[in-house]
Amino acid sequence: MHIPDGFIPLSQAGIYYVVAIALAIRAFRWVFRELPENRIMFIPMLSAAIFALQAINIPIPWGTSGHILGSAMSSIILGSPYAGVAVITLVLSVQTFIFYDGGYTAFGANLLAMGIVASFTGYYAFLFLRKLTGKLYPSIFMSAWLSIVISAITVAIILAIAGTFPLKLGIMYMGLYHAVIGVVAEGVISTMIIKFLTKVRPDVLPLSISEEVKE
Amino acid sequence: MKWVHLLLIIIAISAVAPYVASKNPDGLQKTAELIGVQESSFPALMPGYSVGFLRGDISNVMAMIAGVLIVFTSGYAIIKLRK
Repeated sequence: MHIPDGFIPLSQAGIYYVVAIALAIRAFRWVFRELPENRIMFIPMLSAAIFALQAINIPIPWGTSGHILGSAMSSIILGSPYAGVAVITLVLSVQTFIFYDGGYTAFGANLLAMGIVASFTGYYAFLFLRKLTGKLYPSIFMSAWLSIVISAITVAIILAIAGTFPLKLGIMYMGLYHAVIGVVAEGVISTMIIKFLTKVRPDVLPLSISEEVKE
Repeated sequence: MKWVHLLLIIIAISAVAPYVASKNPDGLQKTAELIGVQESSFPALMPGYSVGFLRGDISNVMAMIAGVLIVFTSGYAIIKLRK
């Protein structure tokens, strides 16, 4: 879902850069000041894991494929959407500026959609669903699914504002593809990884996750 | 389980990624194809997750492992700055 160069006019790309970088700075400030000490190693570990997992494109119908974002998963594991933003900023910086996966000019827009929107959507959807249903893993699955769908729709809106995609077609295709990717990749993988962590490192997970493990 | 074990698992996943990843275009590329939009291209250090002086799958494997290590090291450097 990385927007390449040439899809967004420079004037708009500049605005996305400013907004995304401002929020990324706020996210790293949160990591420096508020992330609990026992979860600090999750920043490099999750960043490396998401980099590796994003390279695995999973085939879906209609001759297309997709990969996880990992924003919701990072936010849930670390207990704040700012953590997701920090992790995705690291991953996306390396993907863009070393591997050219995503355009140089589109970095701000990509970070906005895949890092910021996906992290905040995923994290607050998780808190809401967790409170509503009381079920941990279905809440993780649904919030991860929602995060990638909303992120894809954000990309479609960004590209419609840029005049690259027609709004309705963009939302329809991006929403449809990523709704499927959200089930087979984002939802399943996020749930599996958090379930794995509750088995191997329950001591470092936030209360919203570890409460159910104790039950 | 120690962090180093998790890192080794991640490196192993990155090494197999080029072999198991679908070659089909992703959701955004497919939408761009359907709508008929062309992307621009600029030079990069390791474009397409490949190392310039290597050929074939090994080039992608080495690029992926390098990527994992760069991301991990960057993240580790940041948390060290906090301390």
